[in-house]
Amino acid sequence: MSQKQNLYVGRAGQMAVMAEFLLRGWNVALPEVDIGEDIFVVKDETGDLSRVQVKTATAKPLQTGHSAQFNVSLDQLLTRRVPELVYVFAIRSFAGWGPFVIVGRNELALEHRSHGVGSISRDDLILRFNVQDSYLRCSDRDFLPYRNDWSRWPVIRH
Amino acid sequence: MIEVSVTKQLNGAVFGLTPETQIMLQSRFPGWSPAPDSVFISYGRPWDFESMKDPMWIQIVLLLTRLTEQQIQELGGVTFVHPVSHEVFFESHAA
Repeated sequence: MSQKQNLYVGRAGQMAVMAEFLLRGWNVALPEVDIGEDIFVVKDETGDLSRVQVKTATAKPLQTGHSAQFNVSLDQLLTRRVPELVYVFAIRSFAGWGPFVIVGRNELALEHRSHGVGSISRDDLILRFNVQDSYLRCSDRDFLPYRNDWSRWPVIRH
Repeated sequence: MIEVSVTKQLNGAVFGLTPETQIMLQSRFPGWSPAPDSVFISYGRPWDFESMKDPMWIQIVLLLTRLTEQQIQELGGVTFVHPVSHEVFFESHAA
């Protein structure tokens, strides 16, 4: 995939995730100068703020299900900040968007350090998700609890 | 040894147990979980966390681990490090 195509797919994933937040009643904002894929998610009434990093990949079909591969910066993965970062891995399959794999930075760091999830390539952690209807694994670890786990942002009715 | 990662922010610093320490505590203390998983010490203006006095470092560890000072000493003490450069900001070893 060309670099330009990557930019288009990445932006599409970011907008799909932003759309989900808006449907859940959470406001979203993008930095005026885009130097990454951070979304700021805001609860209007209180100003509660979340930082979300969207990673997007196009799924590759397997004999059963499909796979999607993502890169995460190791420095970012190991660095704690307030507000804490949450990763949303957006998978675009032939059937449309989803699943969204939603993992907190600390959870993912623990999965990597304690269970060997992912592989290191230079300064990045490479994650490959294998997806089926009721199956989601990464490096042989069960990632189903992270599948479409939007629970950090309960639906707000305005 | 308990290892705490420190990230400096404009108005303070955020502290959390490293993944290795979380794993160690889970194995040493069944049922232990990393909650809270971070402590943010802030000030309304740019502030250098390295100016913190000794008791504050230990208080942060008490909050993050929910262990007693004696238990912390039995584990070999504490060290505060940058998560990427591994620069050590503060250490307190078991006597």
